[in-house]
Amino acid sequence: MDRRQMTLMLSDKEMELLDQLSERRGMSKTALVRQALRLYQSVTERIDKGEKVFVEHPATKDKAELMVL
Amino acid sequence: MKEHLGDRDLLNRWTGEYERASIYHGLDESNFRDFEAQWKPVLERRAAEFPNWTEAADGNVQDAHWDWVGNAKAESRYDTFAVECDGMTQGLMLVDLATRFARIQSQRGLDLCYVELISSAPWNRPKFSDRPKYRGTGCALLATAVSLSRELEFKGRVGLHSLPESESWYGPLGFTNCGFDDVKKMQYFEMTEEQANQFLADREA
Repeated sequence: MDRRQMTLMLSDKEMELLDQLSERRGMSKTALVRQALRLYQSVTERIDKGEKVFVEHPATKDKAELMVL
Repeated sequence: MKEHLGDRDLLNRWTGEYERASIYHGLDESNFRDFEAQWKPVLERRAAEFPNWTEAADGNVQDAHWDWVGNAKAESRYDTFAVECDGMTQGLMLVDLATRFARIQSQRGLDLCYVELISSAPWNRPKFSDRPKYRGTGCALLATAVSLSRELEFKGRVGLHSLPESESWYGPLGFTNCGFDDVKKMQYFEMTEEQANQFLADREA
């Protein structure tokens, strides 16, 4: 795949979060940001089509709708 | 945009010779034309010979209703792949890289390459044809999924739900059968990093 380069400016808190998530998910920071972008695109596309995206509590089955503006 | 990823050899069972096939990321109008004009009519004709979808497994045509063109054009969340050989689309695959996560305990919740749809052209299928033509299109596509998973740092993890007619195919390739998924009403299969390494090593041997 062709790649283009960009500089990403993050706060300390955002960088810490990126460090934690990339460690936890076993991916480099670059791969994690790419994956986050794909997920965000997918959620946005579904909501644009009128679909709803929920998170469900495993025990209570309570659902919370995920909103993307 | 359609991108050439590389080449694979497919066995032409009619001649006994290997032929060079090209793997592409992205589909174009030629793939859609092949599907609409060459695949779809024969798939639908064959499927109509069976009284219901369950029995269509006997003709290897449980995927006859899949709308490749509609899915590929309408859903940007999917990545599409094609195998082409002898001037014809021999296999198609559609993957979701964003919204599915691993289920096997050792990798639970981690990202994977989820194969939403995968098909070989009808004339390549045992049970569909008495003399199936090319062998290796499905494996070429799965190898592409594993390679893509590695490239995205998913470490080769791949998941998929199998049509009943294909369930016996995935185990020998190294997938773990994770059991029946009550939501999708299909068996769910998944490949770990180790299984993916073995799968690719076996293909290269």
